[in-house]
Amino acid sequence: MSIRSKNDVTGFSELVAARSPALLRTAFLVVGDHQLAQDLLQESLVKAYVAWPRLRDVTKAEAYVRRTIVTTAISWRRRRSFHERPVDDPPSTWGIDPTEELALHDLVWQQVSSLPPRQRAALVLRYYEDLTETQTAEVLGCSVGTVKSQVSAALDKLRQRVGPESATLFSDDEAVTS
Amino acid sequence: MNTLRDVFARRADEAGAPDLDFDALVGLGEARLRRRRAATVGVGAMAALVAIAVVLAGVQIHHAPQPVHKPSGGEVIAPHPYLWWQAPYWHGARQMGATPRTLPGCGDDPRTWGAVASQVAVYADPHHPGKWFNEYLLQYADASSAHHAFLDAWHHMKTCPQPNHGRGVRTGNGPLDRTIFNPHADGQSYNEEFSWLRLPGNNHLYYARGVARAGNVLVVLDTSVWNDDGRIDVILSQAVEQALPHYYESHPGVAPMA
Repeated sequence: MSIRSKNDVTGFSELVAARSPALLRTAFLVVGDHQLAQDLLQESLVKAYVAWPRLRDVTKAEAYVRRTIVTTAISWRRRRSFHERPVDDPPSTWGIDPTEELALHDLVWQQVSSLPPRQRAALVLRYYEDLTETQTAEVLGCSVGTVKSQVSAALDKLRQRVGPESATLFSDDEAVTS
Repeated sequence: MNTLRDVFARRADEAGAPDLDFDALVGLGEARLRRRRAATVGVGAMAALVAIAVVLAGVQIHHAPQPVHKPSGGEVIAPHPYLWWQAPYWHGARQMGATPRTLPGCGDDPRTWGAVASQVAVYADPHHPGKWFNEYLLQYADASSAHHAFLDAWHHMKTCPQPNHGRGVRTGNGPLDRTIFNPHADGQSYNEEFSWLRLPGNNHLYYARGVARAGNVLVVLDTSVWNDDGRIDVILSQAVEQALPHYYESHPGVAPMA
């Protein structure tokens, strides 16, 4: 016998069916690992099920799951086995033809993966999820000022590591303003 | 167009499709709800017992003024292993009555570490014999004994020559991160822990042992499942946190993370 009502299970199934693919993409961008992204999504959805009476509205539930994915990913990566692994030497792909988008994308992704977890999550929320600074701060559980500094620091690192080809990539204007 | 958003969008497409079993999700959620209810009931019953004990002690003191015996032993292991809920994630299941697998090389049986009481739960994937883990809960007479057992376990892994490519990290008195698994972690139930990862020749399969101490209780996880991504530390954190009754006593009606 279920503790949750039939209506709750139905609502939860609608969330899973409608939003799981998008939530998995977010999880994957935040952790960069397929299996870990699946784990994060599953655990976050279970949490949403437990919390369902407070969520019910699908929009609210999706925000809850997204926040859970991000905070859990940060927590996992913050632990010692998941240290940032900065690239000491400039990558050999410096100076590539900017028209070689795929190579450049690979290089940028590689550098994004080496960012500290909070900075990486902030970039994903701002540049992929198109959240405002205020919304990003809510998800990360920090102030708007912290979001600004995290994003700024992340972009600076990417500019340094990717090199001159990054000029078109990391325009501050690209992100949604709050 | 060539922007950071394009990079993310391209990568996001590589995420693939969710590998979700809806019934399993609901089952896990229901199990967690039931466990919380049981914990709440247990806390209520414990409070009632404490109240009765206090009354009886008061009567005893009133009629025969003498020193009241203070129970020793500190924390008592919670009655249920913790990791059972996670087994379905990797298509595993708890193996009731099964003999725990032994870590290759330097792995020994934690039940020989001098605990006054112990439990073990064995989990395995019937379709992938190489995927398994054991969860041990060991209770010592006091925190000092548990601490020494912890240190012995650490030194054993550190000095054992087999197999090669082992490495470990030990921490003490660190705050327990608040995660989705333990949103109410307050850093008080986790005194020290270490994890030891070994690479026995297969580049993709790490054997890991994690040990954490909370008061007079040790939780030991031996596993072949997790890779070197920090998950064993997180799982260990949750396991030790929720292996102790005080987690439920100090968090009555534990609510999900807001």
